[in-house]
Amino acid sequence: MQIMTMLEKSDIESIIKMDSMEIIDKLKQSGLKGRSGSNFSTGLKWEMTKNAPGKKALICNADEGEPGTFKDKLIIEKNPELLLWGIEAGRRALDAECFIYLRGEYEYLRKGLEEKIKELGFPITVVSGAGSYVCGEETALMESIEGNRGMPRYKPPYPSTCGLWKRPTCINNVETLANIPLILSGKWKPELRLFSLSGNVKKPGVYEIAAGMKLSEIASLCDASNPKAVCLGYSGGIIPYEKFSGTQVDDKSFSEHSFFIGPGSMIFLDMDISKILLNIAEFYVHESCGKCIPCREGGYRMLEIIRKIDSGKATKDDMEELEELAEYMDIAFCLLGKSYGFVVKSAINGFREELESGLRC
Amino acid sequence: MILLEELRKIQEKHGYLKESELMELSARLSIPLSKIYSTASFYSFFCTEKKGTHIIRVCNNLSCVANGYGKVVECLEEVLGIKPGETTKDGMFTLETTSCIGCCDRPPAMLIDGKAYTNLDREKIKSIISGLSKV
Repeated sequence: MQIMTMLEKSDIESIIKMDSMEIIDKLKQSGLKGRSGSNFSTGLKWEMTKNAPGKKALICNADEGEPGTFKDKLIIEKNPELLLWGIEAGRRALDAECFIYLRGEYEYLRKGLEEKIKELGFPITVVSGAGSYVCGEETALMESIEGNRGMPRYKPPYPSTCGLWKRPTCINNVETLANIPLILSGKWKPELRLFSLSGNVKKPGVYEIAAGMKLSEIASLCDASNPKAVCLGYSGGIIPYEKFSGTQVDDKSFSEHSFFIGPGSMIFLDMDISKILLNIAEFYVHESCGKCIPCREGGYRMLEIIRKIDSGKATKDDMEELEELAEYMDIAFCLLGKSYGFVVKSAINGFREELESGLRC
Repeated sequence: MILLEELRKIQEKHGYLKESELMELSARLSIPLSKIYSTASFYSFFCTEKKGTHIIRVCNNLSCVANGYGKVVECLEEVLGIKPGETTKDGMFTLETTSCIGCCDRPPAMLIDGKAYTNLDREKIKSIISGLSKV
């Protein structure tokens, strides 16, 4: 695996030699995009932060909360050095104060991570989250570090000009940062990215996969027994497996069908679609921060209807109302509510027949 | 100063956010107690009331559900004699369910006191619980 590369002395020397402009230029040329699902150019993000006036902050987002995702954990556990050199490169390029926001669920990784930070002598502050999914959203995460409830902020202003404690802030995901030392030392293979594969599969795990593989090939990699649906985390859509098994897994061909690879999680499932949907709806209702009405109220109403569908008590009218509500979720304040609506729509589009077969007249 | 870190330390010490400690923190940092409570009550992993000595959090998301989450909860209910959300009478265990803990490659999974236990089955659960009961 490229992500398991151990940096050699010469790699580190080449990073240390680079000045700020060189680092940012190399990143921009590499075409690296955020691996959290944002797909935003990392080099551009660093440049924007650098050009904004004031003392900078760099945050490593290790709040890997998307269900079915565990690739960042692998990096933190097995190759923290690569990640930490990525952060260090950022500190040098931006002259920033550095933070790692580690999700509360990974508290047991904190000791090892802090030991590695100490060993390398980097000035990085680790902050532990406390079990909130929405804190993975960049501005909610900043609120959280600042000691507030983890509620997202209005954008603009964007973090690159006004982020943590109103400082220009660059926030990158763990996998994104871990790729940076590879880029700077000229060892990077851009086509490789990490996928977390799980569900009804015999070989769950983190796989490093080159762009362009077919969905069926990925399914056989992890030995998915009899997948009916593939959940791209809880926010990237639900794929009816049979229909799309021949589709290439890359951002372009997926987005043509309104699926989003996001952080690269695939949960292969052989379950009733109503059960899948119910689990996802309960998750979103639990994780909603309560700031905006569409998510707080609409989200709950959708859950009520999905419960009815799952217990065979829903009517055609309920189904129509669910579709309408899912549409309205698009006006939610942040991506959490929007994603909830999007996933419900995706389930209805992909599995309408199955969902409607259980409706009462 | 990072408030979340201060709260984490208090919780590590007492198992929950003890009011007297929060009042002390409030005075020390000049942050109103109501503001501290507002922050603390947002996060699932902070508790403002005393819970069991050991907090069990069973992952309830799809990768675990597809691989025996239901049986894990059933077994824990049977062994502990409580339902999720409850604490045993002797104050030893609190049982909760939680969103994905990132152990989808070794399901079903749970956290006890922040440590991950994976690939759970009945025997494993029973031995984990009896191991913790003895201490």
